[in-house]
Amino acid sequence: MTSLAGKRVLVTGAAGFVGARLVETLITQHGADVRAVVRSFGRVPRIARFNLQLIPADVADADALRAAAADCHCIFHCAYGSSGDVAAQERVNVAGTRAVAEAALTAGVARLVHVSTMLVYGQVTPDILDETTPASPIAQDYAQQKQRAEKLVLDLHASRQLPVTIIQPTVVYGPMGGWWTQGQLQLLRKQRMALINAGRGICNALYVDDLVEVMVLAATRPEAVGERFLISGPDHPTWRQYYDHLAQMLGLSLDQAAVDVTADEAHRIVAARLKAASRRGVIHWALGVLRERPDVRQRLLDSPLGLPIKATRRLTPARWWTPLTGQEPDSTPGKPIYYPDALNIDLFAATTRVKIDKARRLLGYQPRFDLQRGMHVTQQWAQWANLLP
Amino acid sequence: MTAATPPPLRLAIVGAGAITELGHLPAAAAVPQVKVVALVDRNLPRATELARRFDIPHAVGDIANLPDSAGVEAALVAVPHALHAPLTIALLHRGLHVLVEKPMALTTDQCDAMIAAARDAKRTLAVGLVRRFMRSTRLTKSLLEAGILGEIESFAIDDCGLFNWPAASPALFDPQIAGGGVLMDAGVHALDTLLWWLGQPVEVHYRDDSAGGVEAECEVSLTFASGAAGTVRLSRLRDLPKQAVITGRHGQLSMPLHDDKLALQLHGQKIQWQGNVTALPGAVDTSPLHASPLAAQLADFAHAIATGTAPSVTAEEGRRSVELIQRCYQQRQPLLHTWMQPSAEGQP
Repeated sequence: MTSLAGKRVLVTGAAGFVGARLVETLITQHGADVRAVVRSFGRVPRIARFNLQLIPADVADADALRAAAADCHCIFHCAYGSSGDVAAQERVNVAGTRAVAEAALTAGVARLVHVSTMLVYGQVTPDILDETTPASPIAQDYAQQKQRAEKLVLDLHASRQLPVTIIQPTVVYGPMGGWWTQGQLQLLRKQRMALINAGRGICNALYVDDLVEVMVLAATRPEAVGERFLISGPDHPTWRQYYDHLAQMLGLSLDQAAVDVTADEAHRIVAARLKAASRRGVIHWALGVLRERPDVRQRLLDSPLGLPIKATRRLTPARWWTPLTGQEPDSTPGKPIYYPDALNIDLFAATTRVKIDKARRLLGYQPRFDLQRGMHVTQQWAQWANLLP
Repeated sequence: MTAATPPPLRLAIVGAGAITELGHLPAAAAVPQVKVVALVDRNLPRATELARRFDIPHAVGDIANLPDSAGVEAALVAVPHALHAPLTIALLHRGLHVLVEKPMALTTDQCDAMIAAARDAKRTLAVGLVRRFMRSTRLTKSLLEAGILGEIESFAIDDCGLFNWPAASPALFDPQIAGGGVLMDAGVHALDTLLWWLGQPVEVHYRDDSAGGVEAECEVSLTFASGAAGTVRLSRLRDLPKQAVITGRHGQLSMPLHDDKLALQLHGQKIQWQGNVTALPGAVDTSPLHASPLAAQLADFAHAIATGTAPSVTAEEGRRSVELIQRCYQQRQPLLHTWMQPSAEGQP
């Protein structure tokens, strides 16, 4: 038990990957009284197992957030927008953060823990990344919005003493994980990963329980107020090691699951594809998005829309669906090759090591899960979830 | 010479949630024996919107406001679980026949009060255990009665999957309103079909993962008087095979739970039979996808009222699964997910 025992705690994005694990931890390990803000009900069953207050609300709805934050000791702001158009994402990432911060000030909470991302440091990839690294430009809406959200809460800290702590996670994976876990497992079942520079890039993997533990520390340590913390795991595995673990779960060798490609070659192929896609129009672009995100695609196919989509697919020419299936006429024999987008090619190529010394020093952060250990639990979950063959 | 077609049953649907929008309204449109004349929901804007889309003359916020001019004869109750009993009883008192969605109620006491109310009002009370109208479920019942498999030895049902029901409200996650989680909401189908197929269990063991809220995953182990034993597994957190397998001394029946297919294997044979279970001409079997059993259920309800006969799923039948669910919750044991425990240190 910590100082959060018996305290009322608000969690936004509470049904998401990180939010739900945080809720479980807050209730079972810390005895907190949780109020959970959720956007929709799809992933609510996991947290509805507990005695908590469920508040369906749009995180950008200032009135709803003010009401939700009343009487709360602290707030964990985990909600983020990565789907929909730019305006929809902006609404969650920026307007949502503003609504949460204002609600925190009105309620007079002891702490707001704002979950950001390492992407706020931009696209440049130094050898060492720490909190003193100056931000560089980045050509991604999500990252730009998260940069604005950080500035917003830090400004409110300076002007109105908002007791905020910013957590900047790296590559978060673990049971129930989205893109870096289920997304990659689903991808490797049907495609081969283009392993950039033979996977020599540094992955900065972060097991979800380590993230959740440091979030609780950030909510309770006085030294944390007004500070930003980069959070990664205890080790610095390569992407090759990361994909090797996922391949092993699926009973594949890395040679079966991935293909070595240089960053330059990958950039060239992706640029050529983009050019071709822009000629084919917006529908192909949308299908391309679905191809890039197997997790989104699976949710869509599992939804009530799934059957009409499958029916439509049967009635339309196969070439319309090429961007979705990723099957290129010139691909080598075997499963089609998946190429990450340009931004992610750089991410995979980077040999940047994220330093977590500040979190160790000020928060007492002690990550417990290196890649081996985190992947071991992840495999237990994936087996249970029937995601492995 | 054909008999004169009776006028359609004038039905009010109470509750404008997802199942009404995606299931009952499309199904009703395919059943000529029923005409939906009113839609009732506390959320009047939603009721009004659905009424407009489905061309229903009346939308009101409360059953007290149902206009006499609508001439409502019967009601379909599709509201949060805790309201099934009070609303059904109120509607029966108003002289309406009622088809109440599953689970019939949260407790057997509530079921008994509903049964008494129907008897006093001399009205039909049917329970929406729709899986009984699936062709594969019905054919299985007939094959079991015919003794095709011999003495039943075991069964296994794995149902549900990642929760993707487009719920219009959080009612399913409130223990007071939903009365339970995946067992109460979806598990009632599996338990009802088992009770229908195999009779009354003599032994019940139950585990779930609730920790003060509603369970997302559970396991029900049952032993029947015949000696048949097996487990029902349900989850909202992961995809399960969504199938039922029944094994007898002579062979095995298996079927997907959301499709009208059936497979039959007889022990010691290298061949099997499998295929679609289809309807003969004249059966209600008109609408596409999963709306079809809902249409059959509505036609059955209308037929029971028109002829004064019992519906296929009577209130007494509906009570049986409520009793079993109640028994499960009373003797609940914890179900722990190893990967979810804080001690999941993952020491390789």
